[in-house]
Amino acid sequence: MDLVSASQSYFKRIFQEVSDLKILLLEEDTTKIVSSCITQSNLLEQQIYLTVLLGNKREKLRHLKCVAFLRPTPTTLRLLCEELRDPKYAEYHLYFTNVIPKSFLERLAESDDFEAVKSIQEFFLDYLVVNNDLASFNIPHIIEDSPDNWQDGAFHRTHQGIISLLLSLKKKPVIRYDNNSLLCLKLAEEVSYTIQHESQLFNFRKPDTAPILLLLDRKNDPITPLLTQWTYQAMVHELFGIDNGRVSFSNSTSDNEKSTEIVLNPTLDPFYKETRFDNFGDLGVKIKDYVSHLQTKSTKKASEIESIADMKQFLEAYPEYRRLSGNVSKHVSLVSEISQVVQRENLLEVGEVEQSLVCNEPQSTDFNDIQRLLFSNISENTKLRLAALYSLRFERIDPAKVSALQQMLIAGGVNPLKVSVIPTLLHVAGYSFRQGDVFPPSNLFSRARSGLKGLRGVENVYIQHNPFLKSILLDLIQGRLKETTHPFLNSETRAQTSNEKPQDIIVVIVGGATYEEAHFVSEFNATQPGVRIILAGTTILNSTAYIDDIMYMSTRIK
Amino acid sequence: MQNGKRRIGVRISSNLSNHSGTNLSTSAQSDSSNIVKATECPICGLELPNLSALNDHLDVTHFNDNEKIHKRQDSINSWLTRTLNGASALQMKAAQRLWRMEPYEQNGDSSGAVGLEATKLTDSLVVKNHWQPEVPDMVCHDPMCDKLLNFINGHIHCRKCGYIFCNFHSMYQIKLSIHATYDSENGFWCRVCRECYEGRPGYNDSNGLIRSRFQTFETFRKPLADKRRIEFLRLSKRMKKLEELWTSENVSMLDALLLNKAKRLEQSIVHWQDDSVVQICPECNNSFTLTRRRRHCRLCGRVICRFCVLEISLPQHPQPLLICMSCNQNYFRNVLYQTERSKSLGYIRHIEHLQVFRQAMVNYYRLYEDSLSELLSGEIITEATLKIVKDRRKKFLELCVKYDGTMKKIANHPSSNDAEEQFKQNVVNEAKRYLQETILRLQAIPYHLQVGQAWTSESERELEKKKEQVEKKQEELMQTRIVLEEQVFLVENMIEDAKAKRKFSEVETLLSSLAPLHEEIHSITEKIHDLDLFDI
Repeated sequence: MDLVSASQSYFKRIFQEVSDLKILLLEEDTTKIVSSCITQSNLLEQQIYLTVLLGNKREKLRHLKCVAFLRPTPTTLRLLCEELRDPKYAEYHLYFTNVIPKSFLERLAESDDFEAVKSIQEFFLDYLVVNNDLASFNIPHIIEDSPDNWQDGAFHRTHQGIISLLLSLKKKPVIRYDNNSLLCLKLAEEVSYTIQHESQLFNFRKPDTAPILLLLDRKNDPITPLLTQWTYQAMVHELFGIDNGRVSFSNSTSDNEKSTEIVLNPTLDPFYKETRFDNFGDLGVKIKDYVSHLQTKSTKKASEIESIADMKQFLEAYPEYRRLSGNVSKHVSLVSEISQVVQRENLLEVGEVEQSLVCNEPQSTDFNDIQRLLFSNISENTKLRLAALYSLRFERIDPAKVSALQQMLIAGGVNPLKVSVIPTLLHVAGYSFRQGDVFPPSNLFSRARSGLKGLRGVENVYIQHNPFLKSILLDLIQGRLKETTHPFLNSETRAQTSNEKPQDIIVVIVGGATYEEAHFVSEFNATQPGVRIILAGTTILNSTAYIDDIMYMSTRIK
Repeated sequence: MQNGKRRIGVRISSNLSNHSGTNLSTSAQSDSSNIVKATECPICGLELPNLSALNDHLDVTHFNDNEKIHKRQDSINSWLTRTLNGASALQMKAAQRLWRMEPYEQNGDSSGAVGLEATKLTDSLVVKNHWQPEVPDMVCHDPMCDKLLNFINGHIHCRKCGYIFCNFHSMYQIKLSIHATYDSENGFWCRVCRECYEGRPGYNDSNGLIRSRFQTFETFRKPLADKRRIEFLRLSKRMKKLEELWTSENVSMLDALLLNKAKRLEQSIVHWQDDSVVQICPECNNSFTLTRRRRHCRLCGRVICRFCVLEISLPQHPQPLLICMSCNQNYFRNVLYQTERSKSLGYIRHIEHLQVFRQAMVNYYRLYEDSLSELLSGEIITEATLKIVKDRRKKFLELCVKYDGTMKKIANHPSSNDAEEQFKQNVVNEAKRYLQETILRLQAIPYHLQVGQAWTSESERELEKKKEQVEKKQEELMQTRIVLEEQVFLVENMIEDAKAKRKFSEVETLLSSLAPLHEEIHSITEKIHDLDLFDI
């Protein structure tokens, strides 16, 4: 249950099968997939000296072999048929990321006039590998015209993504889903149908305990994507956005407007892998250590070069040193940029207010805090975030203030169009549309507990919040996840598995996962012996993407 | 050591050996208890079974007696800390329960028993004779764990491998058959260790599923391809005839120019379709008009319109050949594709050479490194070994030069289009990067390496030390010589003095003492001289 090694195994196979000089033929979607798992220099080592796109105009290189890594879509089929009628390369080795329908093969066969195709295989890698336990299907919007209605393309893509995820991990799961979500139900039915229909593919060794595919709907936890994040990976995504391992940010310290683009890949960058779940404070310390580590290396080098032997040694270590220093400067500039934004946006205060809003009992002072921040000098997006969180929290407690808040947002200089996000959010993910409670329940017992918590002191004010997913997963592992909220799709599977402890769990969040949830999932994987969890989302959200998605919904929902 | 201890309990399959094993251990125990039977506490006289028990007894009963007075003041303090510790321990336990320690609460069996209950039930079914025999003071079998197995840490047999583990390292469950082998279908839930849990077949299978669809594809393609191949053969036969037509002797160039004659000749190869049968061009689906004239494909004889016909000019042909699209696809483009793809271009061969060189470079590099490290390991260097190292280095450098040359050849090879150019560029860049990296890492042969000498940094240092010692000694000797010479000077002065005072008896004794001084000085100068020689 490791997405990185699964994807690596696929590419290793490709390189083994076509070992000599070759060209890699991709399309837009698969380019993202490939770049999420493999680097350019890695490709060069495997004698792939040219990477081309199927849709582009290309010149003939008929003496070279071609390895094509494509998604089985109608567009691809059309382009590929055209390609085969006038082949540009000597041989075609076709690798598709998903199940190929028979008709697809038939059309290809008809077009292959010169018998240029040498192999066709299905490699089930139809998702982006983000961490070794986090995958993304990269679909920004999933809703058609009501919060319960899938957009056709998105539905198909998500379905394909889940199928390929299951096949690449070799799992034939039982399906559980959010009971209040029609999106999840439809998806669950489709996935289940495919599993039965493609029984030849889903023919794995029977495990002790059937793996569980848990389909969740984002609407049951609208809080997590709206919060300010304080762990490295999540923070970078929240502030700048990580797009398939790439982060671009404009460097505000050196006045030029050019934005810097850097690559963050946990498999290639050990420092990043180590620190991606550290909070901002610890990260600062780690970065400092990292810099001083480099400094000791560099000063030693400069002062000690006296003889030719030293020189030699220096040169031997130099590429390593340069790599290290490149990496250090990358992280230093990223972290300094983060702290700039934190200052500018007053995120420390914002974060504190958010956390107390979400984790503590509702208090009347919350409104004053929000009000003060709304008229302070922070960005539109942050204001929206705060207002949205307040609205979700006080939706039932104090509806008058929630609507007053929207007026205040406009007064505070937020685009009225964007303010409409809040009613839409309440319409999509408001209290009556959620199940379970994202907020700590307010009864006497919990009040006593929160009082205790106050006495004991919270470890870190900024990361008190635990995503809703955590309680769901804990319940699931301990067999306490209720069937009223998360039913099994087929009732006969329930009897077998309800009294067994789950071993392998695949969670898919429809509407997008967050890095905060990914953080908790990998914590689970590290601390729960015998339980392995993979998280996937239709996309990886940050607050900007989530608000965008809600905006998109507000324009579509009638 | 620890490893050895753990191996005591290697899986013993037969009952007999199991028996003898336990017997041995019990007899050993009784022996030891015999020896220490008479231990009793020196303070209160209580009889105790063995020394360690006595130790415990002393600690517990008599330790506080001496310090009771001291402790009284702090008692409130210590009570507070104790309770606090207890509270935090409790909390920790609660957290453990919540987080880790409840792995068995589910996994029930058909009878409805769950958790540990269920494992207890199945224990009577699954064989136990492979279990590691219990000995006192055992340590958990997990290589990363050194917990003593006792009541608190637990001592649990892994039902599958039979080794004994602590509670924490045995909280996994898999299904085992009654023969204690893994059986996911009909097995019973049993408590096992981590290794057995993760060692289940398929559990750590990280290879994704792959399905080849080539066979299905081939069933679709084969009939089509066969048809195409037949068509190709037919067309190529006609093509050959067409070519022969114009080269054969009985057809003159003039005939070719006479349209009627040419037409007749070409019609002899393939039957031309009747004009009247076809009203619509089969390629573009337009009906024929005065401007959209009918044309015949010279290879298949079909009627097509003049916009769809392709004119192909061939060598030795007086006029371009008219061909329809499908014949073009089936014959000409096929021929072109097959020739182009089997053509081996110059630079491709160079790239292949590059790969060969690279392979050889990797090999030689490794050989060179090996022999060099052998050389520097302190063995006496012989002519032969030194030569091998030098040869290998030379070979490697020669290869580098060849590699570099090939690289330049590739870069300078003319390319027919941009894609090819880019391809070559990437090849060259990669090769350059590789070359730079390996050459940078190439270790030099130490230049003062000589035959018949063992090259180690240590021997060099020893030599230096010796030299230093010699110099020190020399200096010492010089010092003593100076002192002696001074004495001689003094004695000589005294002799002069005595001579002046006419005390000849004194002169005599002084002279006699002068002689050994001179001797001493002589010996020291000789020694110094010797050391000088040694230095040279």
